Amino acid sequence: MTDLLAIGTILNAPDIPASWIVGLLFAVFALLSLAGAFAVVLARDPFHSALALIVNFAGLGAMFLLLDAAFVAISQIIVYASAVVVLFLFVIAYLGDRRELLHMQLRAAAAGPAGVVVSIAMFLTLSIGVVAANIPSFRKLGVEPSDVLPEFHFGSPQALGQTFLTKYLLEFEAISIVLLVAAIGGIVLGLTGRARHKRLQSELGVLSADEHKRRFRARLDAPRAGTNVREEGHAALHGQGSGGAMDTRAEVVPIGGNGNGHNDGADS
Amino acid sequence: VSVDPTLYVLLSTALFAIGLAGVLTRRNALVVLLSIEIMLNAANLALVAFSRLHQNHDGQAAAVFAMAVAASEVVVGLGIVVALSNLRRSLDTDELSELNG
Repeated sequence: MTDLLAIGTILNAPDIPASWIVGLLFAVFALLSLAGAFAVVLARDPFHSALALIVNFAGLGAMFLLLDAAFVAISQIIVYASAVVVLFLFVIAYLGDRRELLHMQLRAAAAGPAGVVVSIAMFLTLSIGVVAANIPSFRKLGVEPSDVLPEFHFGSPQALGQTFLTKYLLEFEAISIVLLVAAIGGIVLGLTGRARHKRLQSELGVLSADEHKRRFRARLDAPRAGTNVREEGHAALHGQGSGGAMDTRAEVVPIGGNGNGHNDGADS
Repeated sequence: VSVDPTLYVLLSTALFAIGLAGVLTRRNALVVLLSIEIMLNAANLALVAFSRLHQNHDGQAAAVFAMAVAASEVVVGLGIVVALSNLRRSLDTDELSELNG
């Protein structure tokens, strides 16, 4: 049974003289995935980073095909290159206004040079270890008896299904719980209900622009009586808690607004 | 030239180092998450290469598990990013210090 899923087996067969094809494919897709990874890290716009990640994932998917892992390769394309990257793109589009994000990149990262040095050191350490480990080549080790039914191709969905449902059944069930918890966590984190918003803001000591506006209007509309004092005390408490940009704006707005009186309640 | 497992694992270490550089040097929380994805994929490549070397499905199973965990991590991570941007209008990792004790 020779189907497309077994392309790695076909190309890696020792009796095929044109095994340089494998070397060529490896070189092409290795360069592709490396270029994608570099582009992710170096691109200034997060949108471009996410698009470059697709290139990286596609190159790695081809690597998995060369390694006889057909199911992993297909999962790689479906899960990563499609679902995960689309999720990233949706979030980047949802956050909108990328000027602030771009402006942020202009400043050098706090740990910039040290981070580069650390990752180069990590690469050298790991590659020295890999080369020193003297891993045998694919052919020298030969083909061991497979750990699945003999009629299942290596790396095929059937073979992996048998592995999941016999040897790794417990882990397979556990990963479903992990996915469920992650889905619930995503929903909880994405909630934008008023109650949750207020609670988070009061816990973090950060107020949204809407909340600032509401409090400001409430202070303008209120008679100069007890509630006014209470509001100012509240604002002062928050201003002391965190010196964020939002709080400085909160201090500036009321000073400019008090001179004009009640008409400021109508501006946006 | 035969393509040895060493080459695959070397490519995996290179990708891992690139992802690490992204995590350590970029300040945008979104790009940090993208770089973490690169690192996870690099580990997956090594797993699958050794799985092919030993003709054993354990490595591929571990790679698929890693994919599922990575997908969960992306969901939670992006949820945190969206919540942060709603709260602070900033994704600068140098400014996020609420958990700093």
